[in-house]
Amino acid sequence: MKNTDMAFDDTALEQQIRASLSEYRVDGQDFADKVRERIREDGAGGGDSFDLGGGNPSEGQGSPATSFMRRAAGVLPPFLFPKGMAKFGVGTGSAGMTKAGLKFAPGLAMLPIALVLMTVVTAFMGLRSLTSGKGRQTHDHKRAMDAVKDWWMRNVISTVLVFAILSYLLFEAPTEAMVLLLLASTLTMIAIVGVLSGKGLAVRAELASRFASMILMLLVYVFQFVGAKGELAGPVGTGYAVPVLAVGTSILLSFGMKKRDGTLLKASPRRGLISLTLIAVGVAAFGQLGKVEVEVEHVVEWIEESEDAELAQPSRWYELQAAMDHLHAAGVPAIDLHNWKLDVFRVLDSALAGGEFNSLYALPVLRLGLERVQDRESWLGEYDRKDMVALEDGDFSFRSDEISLLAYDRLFELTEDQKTRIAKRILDSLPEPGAYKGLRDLVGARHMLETLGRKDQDGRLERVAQKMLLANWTPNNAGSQAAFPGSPDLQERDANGELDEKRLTLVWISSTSDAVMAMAHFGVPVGIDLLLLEGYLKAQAHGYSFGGVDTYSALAASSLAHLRSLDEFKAQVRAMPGPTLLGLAVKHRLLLASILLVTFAIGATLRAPVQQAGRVSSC
Amino acid sequence: MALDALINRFRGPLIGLIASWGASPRDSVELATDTFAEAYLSRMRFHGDWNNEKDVGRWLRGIASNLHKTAIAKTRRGPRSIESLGERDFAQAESELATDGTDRVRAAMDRLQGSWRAVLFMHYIEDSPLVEIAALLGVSERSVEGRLRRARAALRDLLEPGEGREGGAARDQDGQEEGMGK
Repeated sequence: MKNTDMAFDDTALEQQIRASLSEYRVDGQDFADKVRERIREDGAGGGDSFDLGGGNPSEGQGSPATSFMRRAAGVLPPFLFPKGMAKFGVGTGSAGMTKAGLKFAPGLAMLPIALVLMTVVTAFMGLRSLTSGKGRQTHDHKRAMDAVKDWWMRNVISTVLVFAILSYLLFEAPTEAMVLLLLASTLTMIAIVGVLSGKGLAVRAELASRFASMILMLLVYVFQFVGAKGELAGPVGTGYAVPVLAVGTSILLSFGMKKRDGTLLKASPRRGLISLTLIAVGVAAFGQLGKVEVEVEHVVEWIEESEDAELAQPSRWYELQAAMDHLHAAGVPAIDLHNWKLDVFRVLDSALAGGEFNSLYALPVLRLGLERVQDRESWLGEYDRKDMVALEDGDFSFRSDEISLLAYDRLFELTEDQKTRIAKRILDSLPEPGAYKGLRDLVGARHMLETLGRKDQDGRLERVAQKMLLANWTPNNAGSQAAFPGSPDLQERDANGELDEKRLTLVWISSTSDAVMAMAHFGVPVGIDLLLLEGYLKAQAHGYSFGGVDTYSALAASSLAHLRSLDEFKAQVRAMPGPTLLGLAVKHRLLLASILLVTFAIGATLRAPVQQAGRVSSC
Repeated sequence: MALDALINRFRGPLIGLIASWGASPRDSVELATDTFAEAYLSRMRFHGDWNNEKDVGRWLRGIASNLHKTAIAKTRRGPRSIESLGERDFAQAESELATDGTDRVRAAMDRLQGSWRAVLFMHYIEDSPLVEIAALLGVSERSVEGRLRRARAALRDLLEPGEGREGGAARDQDGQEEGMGK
């Protein structure tokens, strides 16, 4: 191949130049042989063709990557992905990462739980490879590990700093910001792993089996938080994340699996089918075992069937009566109590026979109108108020006096004068705003006034209720939920009147239920955000599907239905700004993260070559 | 693309390029050999098109430059395992100008500025086409052609005392790796 496109006017000079450079001239074949020899000395390549590939970098080309690197790339924790490894073929530049990006990526990718799992797997596999010592590769492992060590020496400060900042932000930064960071982190991982797998650093089946095991581990982790409150998982909880992860795992398993000896099994349709079936069974089992949101229909069915022994426990009857009141107020058709009444009568008969009495069950039974004549007589006798003298004078004792009042009225019918005096006595005995279970007494007072056919003429009841509701109103400091404790003194709120988000505990569901009823009767005070209250009730309205509905979740679900039926609630919903993309992302963060993770795993797996890169093009 | 094809196309210009940086004939050939071997071993990191000369040229030039710098650093730190990788003795080149023959031409070439010296080496070692030279230097073929013309003119001036253009023939050591652009 000689130059023909230039015409020199001084051939003598050119000949002299050529002659002076003769020492640099080599035999073409000898030179090529020497190059091949160098390549073989480095333990890579071989064969005859030494094909460089077709020029498309996305295709798996002959790879000098060691199995350690393939393994590392297969699970890729970016903070174990040093520049030094690029020297052996990973190629950090290929990920399009700037120097700043390379430094930040480790910390950025540090957040997802999945990444932590991947790191553990990588470290474990890497260590096992090092200790197993498999011939020539051991040398490469050491080189790679030296490079990793070197990278850590150079970047440990910045990495630790980033990690410390992120750890701090996890506790202090707004949830939205952390969600964005998590998403960015996951996307960073997608980008890096996508590029590396596209380079042939991990075989598809190897990558698939590793991702599958990783997501399965994550599944187990998520399963522990099944039915977790909105704080952790968003409104849809973990219920949707589990199937996403399960389906993702099944798809990955269908790509192939890795045998114990390290060799790879090719995927077969049968194996794919089996894995899909197994996962489907797992998802179905999860659906049966998992904690799910309790709907109003479930509560109605639960009560009407009355197969749950909990319904026969008198200590649960107050909550049941409250739940039924909520459902009635929410417009739910009357519940058929035929089955439940059998349980109630059995308990009452037993109590009568044994001469026992418990105000816990007497009041709800009376309110629901399920008591019989003998029950009324028995309960009046307990308080010795058959003459109603005590009812008309002195301080009114809520709950016990309500029992006497209802029983007496249904047995003898109160006179109009008696009713007026009793009504006045009730209004004079209203609890203070800070009283324990004051909201319950207020609701009871209204119920008795209704029974007596009297009204709160001067609005005294309403004023006390408004004060009491505001005094008990307890939003969490995350701004996501709010509830009503049994009294304002039951928790330590901060200077803003807020409570740590983790401290909205179970004991408040009955008092919050009373508050919903109180707001339905007396109106919603200014300053009460009913959407926060909805957040709390939604989080409480969950029950294990294997255990079915229980009293707690039934009361939460019925309170929620009642709340949503209030005009004030509907007005607040209408006044709410429309959903934003960020808002949706925050709301469904766990589901979104699961989808991203599964997408990332499947995408990266598909980009990886089916066969070992080295075998594809070398030789 | 086969490795042999790559070697056949770029062998001469690459040896010439390394030689123009001051490496001895033996070191130039050694480093060119290493460059091709490294290019094959690190082909996973190549993100261009193997059929595009510019991509390949840039890739090879980067590897060669790194290897050359590493070799010089090693030579300076420890025993000289590679002979005369450092700068050529230009004082010796001055004295060689007084003699006749190829040594005189070689000495005159060493006095040329780096970019001119490079194109002479790259072209005349194996009479390589301009396209590979342009690819390795990261410039256009027209630019290479112009440099060759000016380099020959400058060389003629140096070899014919009294008619030379001192300014044009001035050596430019700073430009010894011109076009390397890291």
